[in-house]
Amino acid sequence: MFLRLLLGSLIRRKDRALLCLASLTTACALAGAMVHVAADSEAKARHELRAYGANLTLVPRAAPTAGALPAAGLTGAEVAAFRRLAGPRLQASSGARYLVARAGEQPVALGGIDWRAAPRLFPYWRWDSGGWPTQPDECALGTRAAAALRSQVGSRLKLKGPAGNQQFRVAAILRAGDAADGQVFVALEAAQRLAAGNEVTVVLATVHGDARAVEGLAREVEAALPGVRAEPARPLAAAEAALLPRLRGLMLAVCVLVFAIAGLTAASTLAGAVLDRQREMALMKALGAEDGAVARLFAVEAVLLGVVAGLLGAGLGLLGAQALMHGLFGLDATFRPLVVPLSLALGICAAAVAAWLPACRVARLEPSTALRSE
Amino acid sequence: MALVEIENLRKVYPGSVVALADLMLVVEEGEWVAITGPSGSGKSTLLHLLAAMDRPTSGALCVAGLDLGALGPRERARYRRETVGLVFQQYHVIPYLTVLENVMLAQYYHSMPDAVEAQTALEKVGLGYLARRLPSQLSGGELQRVCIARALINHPPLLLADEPTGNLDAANEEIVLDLFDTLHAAGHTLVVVTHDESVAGRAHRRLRLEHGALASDVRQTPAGAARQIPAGASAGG
Repeated sequence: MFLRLLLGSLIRRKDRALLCLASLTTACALAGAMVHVAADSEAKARHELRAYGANLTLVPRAAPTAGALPAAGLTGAEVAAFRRLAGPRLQASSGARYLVARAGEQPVALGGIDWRAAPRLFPYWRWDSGGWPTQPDECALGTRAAAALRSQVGSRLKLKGPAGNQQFRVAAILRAGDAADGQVFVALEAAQRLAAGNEVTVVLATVHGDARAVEGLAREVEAALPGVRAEPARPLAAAEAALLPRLRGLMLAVCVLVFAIAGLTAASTLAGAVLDRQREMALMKALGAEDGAVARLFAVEAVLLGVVAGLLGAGLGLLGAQALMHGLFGLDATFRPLVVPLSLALGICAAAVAAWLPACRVARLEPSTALRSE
Repeated sequence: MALVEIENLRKVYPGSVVALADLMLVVEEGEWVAITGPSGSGKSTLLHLLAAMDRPTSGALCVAGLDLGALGPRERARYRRETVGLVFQQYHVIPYLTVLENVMLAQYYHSMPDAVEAQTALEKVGLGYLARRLPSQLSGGELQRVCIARALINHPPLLLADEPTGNLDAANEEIVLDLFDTLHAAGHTLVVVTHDESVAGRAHRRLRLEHGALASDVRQTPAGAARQIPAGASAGG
């Protein structure tokens, strides 16, 4: 009979049961999504910071620390040694050769870079027109350089360096928001030919790991290559160090808030549903049911809904987290099995507390009071 | 032998609303008693107290030897499932249980549900063929008969009914009253609260309450002739 009461209430009163289920499921899904997002946010934020480009720069030890371009170069052997030392820690790297060239009578700052590595070293570059050059005779112009040279995509540009000249086709106009807007970029090999040397001015690298890992690699490089100075991108490291603990705290606070709000909302829906049924409870008491038996019936019904809501919420939470992560970071959420028991616990606790307290209150009422209130 | 013994029974609701004022009453086993009176005279309050669905403010209320005012929650629940059968004006039923399951619910709280016995009880009130229906598919008269079947399923010594025909048409009222006649003939004690003269006229004893006190207590013969008992001296004998 207990089962008949339980199933009868759930099956034959689908609307009310579904409303409670929807409320609990929403709470569990929200909480689950927040846990996923919170757990992933640190890794994703670090990934986001990587979008600001290279986090390690190698220059010749004799080079000035800031401002003017270094006159000396890094040899191919030093670049190769750095890559071997960094190994799998290296996400992307490119030697870059900077020189002053001429376009006609006009001097231009010319940079030679490895076009294959460039998208990961300069992910913040945006294209006013065109896209990454793919051919050895193609170049990209910063917006200011393009304006000064009156060039656009498809234009021909003849550049003259100390060792010769070469004609390039303009493949793209880029906007970086920094010095690159005033520069012309060609393939590294082309710049080296114009400069008559295989040395590179700097090596730009994106290294996996947090600020401490980048700093560690920099010290290793300097110890192994005496002619090289390795400089972590300190503003990035500082931003990372300042941002991530705050992000962690914020996500924790948001999680707790979402848990509380979602749980309370679901609880109030369930509590309302129990109070709506006080005539049923009074009738059961009038037929001889004891207070505990009546409260237990409603609590078990709520817990059953809580279990279903917890499981549904865990699945929907992952989908929600996926949508959030895609929207915020353009990345997939990582499934965390811990969310399933957590979602179940929230569903069951919210349902049990929400149903048990009003059920006990109503069960303690004299049946005549509840039946008369109708 | 007295089944119900009431002495100086008083019920005061919050706000100092006196529903029953020092009521004295005895109901013998096997009596069919109709309680009449204007609205607010304390009829339903008396019935709820007899059903242990409410607690008296003071005085003694004994049914089948149990002092209802002194019982704890568990004993009161046990009393409700073993001693009384209840029929309400609004035919309260559990809407998501079938007719048969509603009858079995009283068995469940009493001892063990027995579908065959519940089906027999429904057949006795002429509703065996509706056992699998939901309450929403029944008329008011049919629902009231379901409630009577449910009230009788555990063979309680005392049947309490609150305006049992209040929401019924004449034909269904007649069916319900015939059932009460049959139950009375079978030895059940009936206490029926009613506004309806035709219901009160079928009872063998008619009590009238006014302002929470007993205004009259009339015993009626089956032919309808009446013998007046002075109010306050209704010691049941």
